[in-house]
Amino acid sequence: MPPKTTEAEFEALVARAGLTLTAAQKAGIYAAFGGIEAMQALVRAPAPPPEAEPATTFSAEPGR
Amino acid sequence: MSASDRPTGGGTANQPRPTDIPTIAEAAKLIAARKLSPVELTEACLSRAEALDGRLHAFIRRTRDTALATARAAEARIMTAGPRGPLDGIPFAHKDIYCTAGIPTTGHSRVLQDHVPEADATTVAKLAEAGIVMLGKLATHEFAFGGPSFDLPWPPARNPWNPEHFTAGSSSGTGAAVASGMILGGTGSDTGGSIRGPAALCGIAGIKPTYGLCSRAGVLPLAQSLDHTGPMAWTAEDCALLLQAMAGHDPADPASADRPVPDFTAQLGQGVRGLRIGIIRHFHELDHPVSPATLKGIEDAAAFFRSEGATLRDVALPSLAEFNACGWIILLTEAFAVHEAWMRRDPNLYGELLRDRLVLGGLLSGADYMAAQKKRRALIAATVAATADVDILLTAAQPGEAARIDEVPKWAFMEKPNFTIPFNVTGWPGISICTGYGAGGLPVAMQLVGKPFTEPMLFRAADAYEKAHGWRARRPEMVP
Repeated sequence: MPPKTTEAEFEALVARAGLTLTAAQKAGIYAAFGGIEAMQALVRAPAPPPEAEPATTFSAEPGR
Repeated sequence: MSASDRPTGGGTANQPRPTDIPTIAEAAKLIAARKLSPVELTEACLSRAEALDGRLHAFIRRTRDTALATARAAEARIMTAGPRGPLDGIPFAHKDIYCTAGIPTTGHSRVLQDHVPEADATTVAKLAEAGIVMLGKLATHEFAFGGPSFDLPWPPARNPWNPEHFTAGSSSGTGAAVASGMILGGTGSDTGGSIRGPAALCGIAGIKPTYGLCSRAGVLPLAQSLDHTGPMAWTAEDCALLLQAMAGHDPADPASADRPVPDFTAQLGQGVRGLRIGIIRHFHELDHPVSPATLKGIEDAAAFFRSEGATLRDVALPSLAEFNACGWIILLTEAFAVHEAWMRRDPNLYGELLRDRLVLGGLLSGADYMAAQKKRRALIAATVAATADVDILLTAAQPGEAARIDEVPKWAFMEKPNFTIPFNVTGWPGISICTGYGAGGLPVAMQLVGKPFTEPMLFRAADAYEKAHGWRARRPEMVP
C-alpha cells in the first residue's frame, strides 16, 4: 500500500537516522514504507491503558 | 580404533556403510559399540560436502584438517575411555554467526569478512566439550536477516531437494547441510523463524528453545530480545540430544535462565496419550492460508495425535498480523541499533536486502518501539489465557513448499505474516517437523509449540509423530 508519509517527511526520517542513501535507494524503501505504517498502527490498536508496561523492564538487581 | 578395527564398506544390519547417513542417535550407539569410526564418519561427511557443496553452497568455509584431527582425537578417546556422550565424534557445523576462536566468523557479510574471534561462543564451547567434530562454518542470510542475497562475498545456500529453490533463512546453510547429509547436526539461530523456517523447507527438524534456555553469548546478535540459539538435525530426537549439550545457565548472557536443565530425551517413547493439543486453525486457514499439502500434513498430524490418545481442540490467539507487527517493529529497531555505526559509516558495505531492511529500523521512533513492547506484553497475556487448558499448540511452520530462490521478494516479511515470529514474541519453544512432500516434490512441515521450558514434552510429541511416519527414510535425490 502507498505510504501516508510524504516524500519530504521520509527524507527527514532518513536524515534523522544519519543515513546517506542514493535517490534510487530511498525511492525503493519509500515504496515499501506503507507496510511499516500498517505495523505502527497495529501495535497501537487497541490503545493500551496509560499505565501499560512494556514486555522488557528495568531491574535494579541484574539477573533477578 | 586402528584402521584394521574400523568398519569399512559393504555394510550389514549392525555395521553401516560409511556412505550411509545415520542419525545422531544411531551413530552414537554404533560409535559407543565401536562399530562406527568417527574418523570414517567424518571423512564420509566431508566427501559428501565436497561432492555437493559446489551446487548447494551450504558452507562458507570447511575446516577439513581440524575436523579430521578432532575426529582422530575423539576416536582415540573413545577407544581408551569410551565416549563422553552421544555427541562424541559426531560431524557438525556452526552457522557463521557463532563465534569460533581462531576461525573467521563473518555473519556472511563483507562487514566482518576478516573477523577472527578470540573466543568461542558459549554454545560452541559446550558442544565442543560434548565431543562434536566441527566441519566448518555455514552460510546464513547476512547477519541472520538479509537473504537470499547474490551480492555478498559468498553465494546463498540452496535447497538440496531442488537447488533452484530457496532454503528459507536465516539458518540456510544448516538446513541445506543437514538435509544433504554433509553434517548430522548444526547450530541455528531464530529471531523471527530462522531455525524453524529452514528446517521446514529443507525437510529436517529444528527447535527454537524457550527464550533464555540456550546462551546467546558469543553469537552475533540480530535483535537481542527476540534472538534464540538452538539446534537443527534430521530428527527431533537428534535435536533433543544436541539441545542437551547447548542448554544451561550462562552468566555471560543477561537473558539466560538460571534453572536446572531437564533431560530432553526423558519423555521420548512415551507416546502422546493424555496430551492436550490446541490447533491454532485461524493462523493457517484464515490469517495466512497455507498450501493444500501443508494443510493436509497438519490435519493428518492432528488425526494421528487424536488416534494415539491426545485430546485436540481449536485455540484462538490474537491474529498473525498483530504478532507480526509487534515482532517486526521490535526486530527492525533492535537490529538497526546493532548496526547503526556501520550503517552510518557506509550502508553499501551490506548487501542490498539487509541494507534496505535495516534502514526501516532506523526510521522507527522510540515511541514505536515502546508501543511494540507494550503490545508484546498484551499478546503474551492473551496467549497464556487462551492456552490455559492445552499443553501443545499446532500450526504451520511455513505456508508451503520452498519458492524458487530467485523469486523471493525483498519485502516478503511485510507482504504476508509468518507463522513463526509469534513464538519469538512470546519466547515459547517451537519445533518444525517434516510432514511430507508437496506437489513440487519439496518438503512441507508443521510447527509444534510448547509452553516455556516444556521442551521434553515437545520432543515427546514430535518424536512420536516422526517415528510413526516414513518421512525420515527419504533423502534428497542429489545425495549420493
